[in-house]
Amino acid sequence: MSKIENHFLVPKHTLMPKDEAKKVLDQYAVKAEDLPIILVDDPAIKKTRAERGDIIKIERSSFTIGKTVYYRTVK
Amino acid sequence: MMQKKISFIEFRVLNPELIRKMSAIEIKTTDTYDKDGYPLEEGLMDSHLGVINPGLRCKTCGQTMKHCPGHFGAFELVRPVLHAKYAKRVEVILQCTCKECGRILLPDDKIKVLQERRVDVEDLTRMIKLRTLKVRKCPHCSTKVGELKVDRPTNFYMDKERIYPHDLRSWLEKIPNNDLVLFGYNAENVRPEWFVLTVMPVPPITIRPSITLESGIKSEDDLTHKLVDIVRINMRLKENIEAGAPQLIIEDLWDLLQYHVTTYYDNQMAGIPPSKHRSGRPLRSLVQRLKGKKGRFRYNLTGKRVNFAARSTISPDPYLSINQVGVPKEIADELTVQEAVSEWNFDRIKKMLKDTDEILYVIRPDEKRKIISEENKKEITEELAPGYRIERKIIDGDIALFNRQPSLHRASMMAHRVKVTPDKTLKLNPVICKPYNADFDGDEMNLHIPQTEEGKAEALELMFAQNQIFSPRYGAPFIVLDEDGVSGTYILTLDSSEFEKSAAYEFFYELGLEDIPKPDRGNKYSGKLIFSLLLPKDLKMEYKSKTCDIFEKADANYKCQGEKCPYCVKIKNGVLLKGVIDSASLGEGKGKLIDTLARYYPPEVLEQFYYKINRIITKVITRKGVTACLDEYETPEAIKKEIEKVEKEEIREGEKLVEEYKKKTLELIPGRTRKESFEIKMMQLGFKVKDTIEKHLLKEKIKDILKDKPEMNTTIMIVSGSRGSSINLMNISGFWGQAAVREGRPTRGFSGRAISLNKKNDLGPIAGGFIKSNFIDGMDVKEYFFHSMGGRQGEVDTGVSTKVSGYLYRRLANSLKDLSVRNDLTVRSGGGRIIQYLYSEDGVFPMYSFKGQAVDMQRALHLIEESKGVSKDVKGKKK
Repeated sequence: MSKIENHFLVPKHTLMPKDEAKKVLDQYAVKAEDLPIILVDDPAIKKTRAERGDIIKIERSSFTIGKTVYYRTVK
Repeated sequence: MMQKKISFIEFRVLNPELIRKMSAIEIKTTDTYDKDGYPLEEGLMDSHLGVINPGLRCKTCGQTMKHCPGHFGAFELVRPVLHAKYAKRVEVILQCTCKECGRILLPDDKIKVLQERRVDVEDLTRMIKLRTLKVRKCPHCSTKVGELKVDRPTNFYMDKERIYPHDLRSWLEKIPNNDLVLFGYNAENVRPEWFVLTVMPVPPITIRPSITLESGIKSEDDLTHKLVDIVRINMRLKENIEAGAPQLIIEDLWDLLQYHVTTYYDNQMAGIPPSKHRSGRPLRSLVQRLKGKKGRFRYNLTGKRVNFAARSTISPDPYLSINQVGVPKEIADELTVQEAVSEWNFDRIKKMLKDTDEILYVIRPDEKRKIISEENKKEITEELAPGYRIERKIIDGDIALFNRQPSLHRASMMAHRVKVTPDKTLKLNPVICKPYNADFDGDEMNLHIPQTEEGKAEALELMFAQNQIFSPRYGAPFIVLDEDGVSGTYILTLDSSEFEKSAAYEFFYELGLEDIPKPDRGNKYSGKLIFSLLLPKDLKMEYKSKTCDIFEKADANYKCQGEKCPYCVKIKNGVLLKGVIDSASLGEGKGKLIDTLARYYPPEVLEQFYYKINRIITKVITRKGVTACLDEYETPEAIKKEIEKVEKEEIREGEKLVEEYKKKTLELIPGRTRKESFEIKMMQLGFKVKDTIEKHLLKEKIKDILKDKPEMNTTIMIVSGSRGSSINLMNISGFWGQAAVREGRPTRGFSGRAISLNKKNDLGPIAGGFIKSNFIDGMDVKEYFFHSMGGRQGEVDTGVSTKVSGYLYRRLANSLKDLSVRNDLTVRSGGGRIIQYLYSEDGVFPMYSFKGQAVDMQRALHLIEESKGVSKDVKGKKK
């Protein structure tokens, strides 16, 4: 029960370093607030110690193409 | 792109000061116009309030009718009056505050705690209400808290003594700004005393124009009538007060004033009799203007109406292409479209102008419009030159958008080419009924004519019917032949179907054939040959047919003979070598032939296929005919015995189960109780019994097709998959089997039994709703009753599920309507925020996919293999 991130239904959440995060924002030509959000107190990102404004990379497995990447701004 | 963003919107309550400030003139009299019909100064129609007559100028801003937005006026109320729409809020405040000091009835420290809580205003208010409920004494000034009574909407009593609006106002004035925050008010925007009106704003006359009737009598707007009432009572109240009238009369007038102000804002308030017009019609107050289906929002702002549109009943016409829509002459004469005159179409348009009356207007390059009439026709024909535009009636080949509501998906509105017909209804090919979800039991559809070249091009590229063949949901054709179409094709391609030369030539004529093929069966043409004429010359396919499937299902001994199977399809070089064309070739989603034609050929190929096959099929099916007659459903003797046997088995087995259940020796199903296990087993028994007979019946029925001269009856429909199934057959000539309510045997009714004709606690098959009869023989009373129980549930389910899923879909569609896929394949909202980083997270659009998969792997591999084989051959030849 204690380690929610180990559950198979919870995809991998990682905190992106500032420079990589900037790259992603540049790639999509958006500001951080235009990304989907994730709450600071979301259990899935507790371990990453992310702060407001950080960007979280979520890698999910996909039925059709194997793996998909998703980004969220911490709010 | 978006240049400015709205950061926030603030709502305020009009305060008396503001009302006075924005007032252009003070209204002092109830009169509107003088005897010459001019607006009276300081009256309710004063010309300072805006202009509604063209030519006049506004006395406030000096602008004409087009430019003057209208101006507010105002007048002072002699006695304040509560705005009834705020009464609920006032009630809350009165409950929670002290009438002497105006503070919230809680100690300072508690107020502070509440202030620091970060909760909704609504929650906060509820909390304050709860906590002040039992307070008897004000913690700030020690005044005793009285008992508040409310006579909704506008009358308040404290300890049975009326609180008049001016007392109310002074109470509300006392509440300090800091305490107001707890009610969710920012004192700068909202002070509660503004809920009590001291000044009445008078809306501009542009909002309540008077109408001059043909008889010359002026008729005022409902709002003006109401304002007249308010001003009149206000003046009477003033006179009475000044004359020192008794308190009772003044209070009566005051209440009357309150009534008129309340009904001016909302004439449908609970507890207030609606204010009536002289004719007895209730007046339309401000709230009524905005609220509901006929209100400003839903009727005028969300509900748009367009020109260049038509609506009519629809009917089928198999002689139209799927790209066409039949438009009655009456409609075609009314609808118009613009066409630019250029050097390329100059001669055509000039001829049209000269010889016909199709052209209604000519528009010169300087945008001057000229109506074409008999007198100026010659002159204009001479004048016409490239650069001019014409407006003409629609003719064959024009582009129209065709739509049926509810418009649930993209194919609910498709572009078609107009075909003007002498009929009275809009017509469409029955093949495109499916995407529109249309039938011809009185359905109506809408037609729109795009006016600009851009509009036409867009319609043709994005919405043309032939480009909509694939379902956007699962990527397989969903514009498909159905019912008669499939039955007809089936009959045409049966081995036994042959046509005399004379009949076959009719088909060739319909196809517009120039090279007449040689007869392939002596002097006759086979149906397969005729069907092959519709296929592209390089088509090569092999697959199992639905017919073969059904044969295998009906007869355990029947096995598909593969290469030799006379029912499985083999097409080579566009010739149907063997097999019958049924729903495995043509059906929705699973039709292999249609799928191939749509996927690997240009859209015109399938369009032409449908166009031609419709012509042939109509002929075939009207000539051969599919007829079901009653004795076709008579149960064969062999099966009658079979049924008797099975029914006995059902009863025997059923009784055995009951016995076991009662003795508690019944084998339990894991995870089920004893009772549940028993019920499930009883249901299963019913299904098992029904299934055996169903197969026998089907087997018997199939013989109709195997004859040298097949019978064109129900079997054709079942085997070709065009309509009906063996279950329907079973219900008609077999027996109904177990009646089911909510997936179980009917149980509700009386205690211990479903209907009073049964013995109590009879758990046997018959008492549990097993129906031995069929539709041909008819059921007995008990059976009929059980059958209706199941029937009722089916009816309720369809009703509920269409309603629920319809609304669910609407909400989903509304929330997704602004999303779009951008060039980098991201999905973004209207405001540019990212929703998905790759469309559907895998970049596959179902409409262009192969049944949901990005690539048809089997075909791809097959093609690779084939190309390898070819290259090998080439190499071999070289050596």
